[in-house]
Amino acid sequence: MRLSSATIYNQNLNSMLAQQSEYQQAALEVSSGTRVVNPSDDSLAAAQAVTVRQSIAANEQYADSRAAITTSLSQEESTLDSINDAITSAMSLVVQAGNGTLSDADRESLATSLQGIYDTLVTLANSTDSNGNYLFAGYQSQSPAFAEDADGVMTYQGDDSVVSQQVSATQSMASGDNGASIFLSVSSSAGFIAEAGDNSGTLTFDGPDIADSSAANYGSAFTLTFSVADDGSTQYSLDGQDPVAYTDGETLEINGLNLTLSGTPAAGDSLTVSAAADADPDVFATLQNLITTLQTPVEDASDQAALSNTLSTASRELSNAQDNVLTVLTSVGTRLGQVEVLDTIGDDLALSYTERLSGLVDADYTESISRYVSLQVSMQAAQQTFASVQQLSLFEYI
Amino acid sequence: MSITSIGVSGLTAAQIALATSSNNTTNAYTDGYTRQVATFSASTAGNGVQVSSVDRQYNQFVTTQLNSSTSAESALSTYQTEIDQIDSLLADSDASLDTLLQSFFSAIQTLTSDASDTAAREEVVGAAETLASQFNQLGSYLSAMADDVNNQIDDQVTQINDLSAQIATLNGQISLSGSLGSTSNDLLDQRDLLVSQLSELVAVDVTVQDNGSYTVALSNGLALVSGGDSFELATEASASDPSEASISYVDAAGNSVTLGDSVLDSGSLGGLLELRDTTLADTQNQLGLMAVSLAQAFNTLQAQGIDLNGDSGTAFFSVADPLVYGNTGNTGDATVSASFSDDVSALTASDYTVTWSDSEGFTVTRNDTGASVDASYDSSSATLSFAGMNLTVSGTAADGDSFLVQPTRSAASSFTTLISEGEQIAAGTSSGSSDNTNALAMLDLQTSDIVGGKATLSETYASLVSDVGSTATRVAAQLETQSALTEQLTTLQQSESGVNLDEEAANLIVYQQYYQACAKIVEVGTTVLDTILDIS
Repeated sequence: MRLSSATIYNQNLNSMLAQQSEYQQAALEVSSGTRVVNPSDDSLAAAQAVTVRQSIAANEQYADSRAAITTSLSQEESTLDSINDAITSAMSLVVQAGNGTLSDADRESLATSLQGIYDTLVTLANSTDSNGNYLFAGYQSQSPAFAEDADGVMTYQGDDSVVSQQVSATQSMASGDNGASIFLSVSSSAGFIAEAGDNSGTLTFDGPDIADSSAANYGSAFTLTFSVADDGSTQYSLDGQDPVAYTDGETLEINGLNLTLSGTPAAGDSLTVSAAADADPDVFATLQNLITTLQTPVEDASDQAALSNTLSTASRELSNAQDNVLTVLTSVGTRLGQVEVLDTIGDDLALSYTERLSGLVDADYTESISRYVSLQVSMQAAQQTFASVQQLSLFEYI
Repeated sequence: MSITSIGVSGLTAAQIALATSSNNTTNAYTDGYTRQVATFSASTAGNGVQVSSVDRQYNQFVTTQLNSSTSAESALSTYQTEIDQIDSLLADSDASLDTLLQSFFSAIQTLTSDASDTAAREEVVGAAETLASQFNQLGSYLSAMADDVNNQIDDQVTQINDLSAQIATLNGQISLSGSLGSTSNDLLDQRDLLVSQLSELVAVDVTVQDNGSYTVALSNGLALVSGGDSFELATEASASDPSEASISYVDAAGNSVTLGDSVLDSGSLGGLLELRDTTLADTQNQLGLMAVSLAQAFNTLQAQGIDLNGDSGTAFFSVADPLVYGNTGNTGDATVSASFSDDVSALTASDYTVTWSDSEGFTVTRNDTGASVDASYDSSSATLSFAGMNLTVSGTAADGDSFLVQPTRSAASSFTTLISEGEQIAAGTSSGSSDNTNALAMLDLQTSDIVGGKATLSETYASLVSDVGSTATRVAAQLETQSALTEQLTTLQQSESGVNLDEEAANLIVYQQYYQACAKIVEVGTTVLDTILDIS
């Protein structure tokens, strides 16, 4: 075919320019290491890359959440350990206080020690994190979890909520526990508590212990109220029912619970038995009550009975409180364990996402470089062709 | 006949041939130049030679093919130039929309770790502002592109009119010179060049009349040039959408006919129209849809929550209401305003046309699919509800009145944050400062199908990237094919009409020798004459 000079020139030039642009593209790919920058580079890969990047970002967010949760749970764990220690010390002081040979002064000094433990517990209950948030106040983290009210009673000021966070695509996890569940609760396995009223007699109790968990009304709270019959004998009535004669040292079975009563109750004395969870568990109130009792001088048998009853009740309550703290501690440990497992899964996911993303958008160096080199060769060829073809002209010979 | 005059006829012919070759040589690289060849013929009765004509080496068929291919290529290359801008706009970078969305949600995640942390709250506000500004930038860039496209359409229509007028003038000159018996090759070259330039702008059909003048018509048969007359195209604001330029044809009587996009589907004008009505509008709508979905979902959650000051949450983001344009041909006095409903799960990236008919009331059609849309009309409040929008009609529509609704066209450029203080984020649902329940719900939006009720924000962005990327790739591939075709046709056209310098060099040598030979004839003639004269 006849070719015009302009065609020859344009074709050679265009082919050189096309080579140059491809060469430039290949050079960019090699130098940046990225194959897909603009959507048009590979629309499918670019769109998938958006989705994968989103997954990577979400995965990182979950990892950040887990890191935050790990920090707060670890702090909670050590705080709970200290709380557990404090309760243990209080329990051993209660045991000491039960020693009948102690003088009023000895008890006063035990009360002082207990006051120290009480103060420690209050401090622990009002622990703050690095941002100054109260750990155990639920959502009300800007004010102390526990504070004394106008009557000097330690009161929970937080709420029943717990901050939780998304730790994986499907799981959310509490990053702490609130003060109510630590200090004002008992574990579900806690038993029963007997509490003497403001008695003036010498009634003491032993128990309650579970006798028959299948009995009718098992677990229902009850109150024994003592009175003196016309014949001078002591009698008690169960929840206001008809009085029954009282015998010193007698073991009663009520609502499936065994309760051994001894001493001589005065008229109007009472004894209430209820499930620990229903008895308004409050470790601060228990300690406060204990301290007040220990500070009260023992002058007669009724004082002795009151002391003994308080110690007995407090001992159970403290034991329940400790069980509860240990339960929370276990739950914290479990959560930390879960976080660790999720971290491993998250790291694996991150790796696989990164590999996927790299497969989608990154340049394959072997391929890119060999393409780059071959394009370099063909561009040089195009340039040489251009130069030599342009030299070929009959006019050179005229 | 004397030898000398025969020799002289050869000298004259050689000069014309040499001049033709020289002209070819000097115009070897001139646009639109057609190679000319001097045709010799023997003079009658042995009187030497004469140049019967200097012809253009021109093939009407190939030229027509080439012009049509040029139109198609020009449409594609215009489309590519424009879509490349959108393509780069969506390129992956630290400031791409998906990255900023992730940063925003990442800030919310930090907030869920400690809802009372004011620094974390400020972080969310900051990330939201960055996100909003990126939405704005994308939105404004695209609307600036739309303006630019409309301006280009205007410019090109002016150019088309100029070219038509010039072709008409040349038609007149050519038919005049034809009637005088001499055809000017230069004028023919000029006219063909103008037609080829016109073909780059818009696809035209050329018919050659008996008197040699061209009739140049649009693909629907409306003539731009007929003999010495040219007819103009005009641009005006579209009747349905005043923000767009529409093109109309003004006939000899001065009546204008609006041209549909299908008439102008080729040439750079066609490329611009197609880009404006498809990729550009779709991209604007998709981005807008993301902005509206994000804003509505966040604002709903904000309204359900309590902020750090203990107050009910206020709106976090704002977006412009849907745009509604009444057709300029409407005869009723109804005006329509629109707002988004709280539930935007039925919202799409399509535009809608609302038409009133006296018999059927309001009907709504989707502009992208042409499908009719279920709409409920509450006559007591004069509110028409469909696709996540409420349209309030005031005044009375006349039969056949129509309204164009663009739900999300301007949403991206108008997307702003209304919250400036971190405390205003309603992270909780109670007054507790560490209450993060609402913030968790906000974080959840990242993976919820909040866009049109069936896609996450990130999925929507991915599909936008995929749409633009694949369109750009398709256009690039089509352009490559079309360019190859144009190049092939150019080569074919040039093989006939183009100048080959080697050939001209050879011609120059040949005609130079020929000239020398003819000169020799004259010399011989002189010598012969001298011989006779010397006899005496």
